[in-house]
Amino acid sequence: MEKQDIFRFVKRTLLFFLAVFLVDFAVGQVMRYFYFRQDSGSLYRTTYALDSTTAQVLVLGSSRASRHYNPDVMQVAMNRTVYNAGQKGNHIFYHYGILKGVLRRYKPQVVVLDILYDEFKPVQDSYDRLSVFLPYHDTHPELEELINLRSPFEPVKLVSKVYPYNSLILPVLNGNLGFDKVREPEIKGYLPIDAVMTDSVKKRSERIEYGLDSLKLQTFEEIMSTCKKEGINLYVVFSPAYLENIGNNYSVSIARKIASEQGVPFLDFSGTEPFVSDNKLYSDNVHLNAKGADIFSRQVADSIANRLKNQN
Amino acid sequence: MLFNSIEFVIFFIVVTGLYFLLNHRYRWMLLLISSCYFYMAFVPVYILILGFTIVIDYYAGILIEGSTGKRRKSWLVVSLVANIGVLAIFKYYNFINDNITALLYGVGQSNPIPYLNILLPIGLSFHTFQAMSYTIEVYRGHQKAERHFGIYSLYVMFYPQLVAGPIERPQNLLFQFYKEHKFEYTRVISGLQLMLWGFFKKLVIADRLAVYVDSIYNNAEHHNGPTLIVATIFFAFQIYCDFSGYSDIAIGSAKVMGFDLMTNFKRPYFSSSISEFWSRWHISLSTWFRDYLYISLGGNRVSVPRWYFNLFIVFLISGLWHGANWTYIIWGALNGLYLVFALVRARYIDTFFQKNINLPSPLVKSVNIMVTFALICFSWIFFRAASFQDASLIITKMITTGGSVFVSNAFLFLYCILAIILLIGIELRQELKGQILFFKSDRLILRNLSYIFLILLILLIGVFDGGQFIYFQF
Repeated sequence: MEKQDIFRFVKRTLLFFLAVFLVDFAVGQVMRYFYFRQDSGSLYRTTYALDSTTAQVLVLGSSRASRHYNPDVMQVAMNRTVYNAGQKGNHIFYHYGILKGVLRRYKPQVVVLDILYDEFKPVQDSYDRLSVFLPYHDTHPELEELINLRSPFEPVKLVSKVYPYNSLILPVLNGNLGFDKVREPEIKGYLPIDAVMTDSVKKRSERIEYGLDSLKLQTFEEIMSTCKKEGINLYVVFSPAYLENIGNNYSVSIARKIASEQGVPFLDFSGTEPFVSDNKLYSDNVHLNAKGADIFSRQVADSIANRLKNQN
Repeated sequence: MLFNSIEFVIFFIVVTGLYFLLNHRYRWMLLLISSCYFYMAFVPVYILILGFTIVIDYYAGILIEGSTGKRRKSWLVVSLVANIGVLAIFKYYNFINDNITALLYGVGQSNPIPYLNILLPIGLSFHTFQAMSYTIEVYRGHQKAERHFGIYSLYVMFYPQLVAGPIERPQNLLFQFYKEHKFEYTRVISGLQLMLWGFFKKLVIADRLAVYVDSIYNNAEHHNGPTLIVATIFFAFQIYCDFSGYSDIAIGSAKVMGFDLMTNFKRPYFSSSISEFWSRWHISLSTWFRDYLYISLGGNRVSVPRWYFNLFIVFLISGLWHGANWTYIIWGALNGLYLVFALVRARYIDTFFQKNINLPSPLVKSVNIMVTFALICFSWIFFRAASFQDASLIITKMITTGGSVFVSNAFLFLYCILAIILLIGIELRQELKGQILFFKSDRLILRNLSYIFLILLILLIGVFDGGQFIYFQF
């Protein structure tokens, strides 16, 4: 009886997993089709950065990058095409992934890496967010190393064809229906905000020293060495924030120090006018609004253009 | 090792496979070793605390059985003091010390008692309560003392229910370790079904809701009343799916190996009264308090005021059991008050209504379910808030502030709503038809489609980076 039960269980389990495998494959293919069919939204911007952009100047960073760098303004000052590949909620690993993906196709002349305050703080979320690369795991082998930072079991999970699209049904639907074209229009990856910050009181950002994430530091150094090896002009930028003492942030100081050691220009706008005193250029403490972004884009582009001119 | 991890899935497959391959005589060893490994995957050194109480209770059981009168009672006291002592040191010492400090500070004195820098061993309240139920039952003569040290250790350490219950009774569990469990197809399938349902509740519902709830409760001062109300309702479903999900995985994984653990949840949010809620929520703890505290206090075979007091005190202690914080004590007290009020209402008001007003019963039941849910949600505010001050602020804001519900991520909010609707739909069917989706259908295809549907939902909208179970901290 027991042997019969075991035999029945094994047989039915195998058949069941075959059925799961087939359904998973079919649903995964449908998700994949609609994922890469998107023509707007944040997921689309990642795909565009990895697979399509050929801009001479590439901006990398988090939401601060996507909100602060207006490619149209920068293009005029730099006389080069610009694409803003900033992505909200992401950290240094994401920026490195985009750089690696882009380098498979072409070599940008300039890379602007917008560094985040507390960039090197150990936060699990920075690793979890690497799920953004899961849909590209089979087309972009260069991202595998970064994807595996999520957990040692990622290759096992990726046996499923649906897993790469986990939690993406609604965003993919949104990207296919084009709601973001109206809700959050983009200009070459740049996402302007019209809102104006109402609170003019400037809060103080205390410098807190913490144990640094060695993997993040290593990734930062790898971005610098990759650019050096490929002959790309890399500029590390700390863009404005309406916070007192933010330029003294621990991670920012570390980034400044490492950049200086590697001979990479570090452009610090934390103490630059008019951003230091005018809260009307911000939408909140850490994000410039469209007006502020235009002024900042001009300043940063002029600064880089001058350096490039002197270099030549 | 968390149930919602790939490590656990591998662990479960290996242990279950070996269990059925091994001769019955050696299975207890496999279960004990794997339970030790499971527990040590959290903080290895805490197994020593577990070992300490196991040794004490093992010998206490034998000594209680072999003695009579005062001596018998004194061995029980030794066992209870050891268990409660461990709880007191690791769980309540710093809480009591903090309160002494506050009291002494009030009279201008400082507290000379040092603060202990210790971590609470995982699942401590669960396994000490299970160990205490053993010595109490031996004392009461309901259970023979276990002579096999390995089997007794396994009774306390059985991995499926070691860290978050269900809190078992010796009469229900001990004898099962002696029974030879053959591989039974229907039992294995039914265990796996429960596990799948548990994983669904944890990954798709609890962990998804947690993202929203945490973002609101951790910044309560910045949010308005409607947002805090929505976050509290979400938390009600989060904690239910988190804990009942754990229980389902625990009961299911034990069932696959042939063990029957007690039911811990019976769709509590369909309760039409507070007393019904407590007969459907964390049943293994409620019955523990009923059997070992409420009845010892005299239960309901006392004067009416004393009966109400007994109920109230049991809930107060139940609150304290959950955590060393005033918020848990208030949560327990609030539930105790609800119950006492319900008894008063049943005695006077309900009798009056039944005699004089004839309302259609489905309507009455629906209203009662909603009122019960609202009362329970109100008590969850204290359970979830970090401090009494936070809870007060949240309640004040709920009453005094208006506006629209804060939604920072529309997709997340939509997922939360969809997850709750899905849960209510599936549980309503379970409540009415007695089965989850088509889990008990005679048609193989329908059963398998139900499993595939849940697996797909887990893959599509489950949270794979979620944290640990809420009840692990207790």
